[in-house]
Amino acid sequence: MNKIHNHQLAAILFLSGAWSVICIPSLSGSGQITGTIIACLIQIICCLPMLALRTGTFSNQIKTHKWLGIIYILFFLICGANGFSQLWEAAPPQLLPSSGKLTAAVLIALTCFYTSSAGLRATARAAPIVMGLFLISLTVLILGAWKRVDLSRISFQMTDFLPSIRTYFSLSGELAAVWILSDSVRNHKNTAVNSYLISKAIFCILILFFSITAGGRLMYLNGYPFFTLTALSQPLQGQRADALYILVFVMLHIMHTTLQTGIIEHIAEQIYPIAEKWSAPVSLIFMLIPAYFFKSDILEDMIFYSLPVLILIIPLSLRIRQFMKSIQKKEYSHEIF
Amino acid sequence: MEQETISGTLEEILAKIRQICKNSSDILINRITAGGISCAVLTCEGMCSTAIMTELLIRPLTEMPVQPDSNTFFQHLQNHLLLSLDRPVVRNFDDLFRLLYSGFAVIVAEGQQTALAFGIQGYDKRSVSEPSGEANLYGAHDGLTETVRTNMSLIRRRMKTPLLKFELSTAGNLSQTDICLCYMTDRVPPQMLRQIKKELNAIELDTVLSSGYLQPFLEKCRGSLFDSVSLSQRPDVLCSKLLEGRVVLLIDGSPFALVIPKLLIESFQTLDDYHHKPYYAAFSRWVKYGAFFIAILLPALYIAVSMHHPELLNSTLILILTDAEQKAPLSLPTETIFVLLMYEIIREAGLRLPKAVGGAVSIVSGLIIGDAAVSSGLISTPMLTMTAISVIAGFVTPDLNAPVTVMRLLFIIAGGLWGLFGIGLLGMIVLYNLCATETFGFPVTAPLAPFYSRAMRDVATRVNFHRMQYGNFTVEEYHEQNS
Repeated sequence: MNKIHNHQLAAILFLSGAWSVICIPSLSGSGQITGTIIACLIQIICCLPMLALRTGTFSNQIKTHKWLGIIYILFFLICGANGFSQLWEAAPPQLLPSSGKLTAAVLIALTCFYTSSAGLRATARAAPIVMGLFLISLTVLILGAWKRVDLSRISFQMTDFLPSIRTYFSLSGELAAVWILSDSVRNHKNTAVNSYLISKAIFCILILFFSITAGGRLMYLNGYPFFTLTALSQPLQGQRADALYILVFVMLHIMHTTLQTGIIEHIAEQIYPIAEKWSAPVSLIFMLIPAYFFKSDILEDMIFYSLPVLILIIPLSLRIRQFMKSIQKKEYSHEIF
Repeated sequence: MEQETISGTLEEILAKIRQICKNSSDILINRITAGGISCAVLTCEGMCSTAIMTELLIRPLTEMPVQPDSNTFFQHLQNHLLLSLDRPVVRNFDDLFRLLYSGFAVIVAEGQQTALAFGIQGYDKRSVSEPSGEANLYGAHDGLTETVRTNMSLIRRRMKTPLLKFELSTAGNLSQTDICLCYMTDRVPPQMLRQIKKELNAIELDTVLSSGYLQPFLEKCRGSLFDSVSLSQRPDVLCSKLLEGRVVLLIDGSPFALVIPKLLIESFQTLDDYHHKPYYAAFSRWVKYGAFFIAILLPALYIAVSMHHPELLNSTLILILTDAEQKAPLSLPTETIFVLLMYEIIREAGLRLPKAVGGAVSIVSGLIIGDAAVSSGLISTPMLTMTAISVIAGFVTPDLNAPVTVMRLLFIIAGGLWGLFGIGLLGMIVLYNLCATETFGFPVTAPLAPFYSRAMRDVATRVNFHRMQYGNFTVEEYHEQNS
């Protein structure tokens, strides 16, 4: 895998995660902000052993344990499918072309086929540029919403945060990509991962904060806080600017799906080199099919339950296994001498 | 060509030469006896200066004292007669013909298994003049010519340092075109230089008639919209590139030099930027960045907003556009594509025609077709305005004309079919295409992606020379290692 910079990794992960954040389906109150902060802290704690206990590169691990690669491929297929499912559920009709949601998904899948074929390095280079555009649009969104902010609508709550922790976790599929992509980062891997986790949490808190304070009761009724916020935040006086967020919407979804497809391609290439050419189109088809049949909450449940296994249990068990092997080796060498 | 070494009697050598060139009319063989030795002076008609040949070759040869044998004759020629500054010893027919066709006079003597060549080139060539492209207000007004050695001297005059190295070689199996690699020995990335030489050596083209023949071999990324090797006609620009550790390739017969690697950001930089005050240079840079996006996106955005997202427009604009478009018989995307294709046809016609007729083309296209199309209601005025602004904006970065033209049309189609959604999709494809473009490990998107904050002093702004004189930037900073 080509080497990338740590800030590029942080940008890739953040943009993929930001897609999930803009698709948060409902607003439950100020406790959601507390939940997000707690979830972010838990994620940082979960990532520490994954990064600290890495045993060799991921490529070497999946070459020796093919089942491991297959598990990760299935997980990223679910993440990608969830992305498409979110696209169908979250996108207001005016955001997508008149030809319909299925056409939109197919067009995005075709685009992702090209973007994933450009390779990880191209994704890494594109990510900071997309990030810049995204930050500009976020600034415009915040400036537009600023005049509607009413701080009395928010209150510090330490209750009702458990569901939001679960939601935040189920929207963090890209965490599993950390282990795989950290192989390709030159240095300061932990900085990249921490930057991603913190910036994603900040973005999520910003959206929740402005949704609660600027949207008020409307947000609870409408759902999809980000999209309602774009409708409320109108920086121009005489015209509506929501349509401009289509560009953000498209960029984030492509980054999200490209990441999943790119990683599947990489794993497939390691396990079965012959599958290199076909892995991207096949994986995109296998993302679209479940997305068409399953609702996003089913897919999010699957992500929520499998994430701890992938980011904590597997890395830990591999480390323990290696440790046991090294002890056995030592004993064997003692016997010889 | 024959790799065979020169051997045999003088008659046999001359017979062999006649046989290889099939008695070509432009090969002149003059048999003379000089210093008592029978020899022949070979030249190619029209390639040598008659005056120089008489002064430096014929007269010294005829006045040469009698020599005991041909070995002494050649030694005397080489050591005692300064006939020319460039006088290689020729050992095979391959080199003999290459030199002969490059304007050298070749002396073959009885009993010698080598020949002596003398550089007395005197072919007609275009004198140094202002380049047709890359116009510059304040910089030098001389440009490269078609002669590689003249071009070498133009660069050398500006870089009087032994660190600047020229490496002459040939390309093209039949044309044997002279090419010259130029680089600063202390700044060029050695790995890139090695790879470039390897690529050039592996080329199996029969002829190299312009820089475009070699460019694809130096661009490592296939399917890219953007160039990763740039062209320049200006020796001052080439010097600035050399100072940044780049490799310049001069090609005989082409007034365009190839610069490896290219960064996209260079398409927005001109030498005039370094003459203006920094604040104005920075301003003009941002105007160019804006013009680039206008050139690609303006017609597409106009179509997408008018057709799919009219809520983005205010009421006055909507009324104006609706009124204008109601009268037009064609749909908005069809109309725009038609206008752009007409423009491309007119541009092509203007480029290829003689200058005198070119003016007539402008009158016919601008006044007659343009005016008639609008007044007959075939084309709407707002759409024509958008297209004209976009085309003019494209002139700001002539270097990017090819990708801008194609992308403009593609964005119009995407915007017309799917509105901003389509523009977003195509935008991501173009971004990935751009980000995947690199040559010899140098991404064209550097220093933006990957981001180098230090480089922003000459990208986002243009700092003054007091600050720019420090830093010793070389392009090697942007090199990305694999694995």
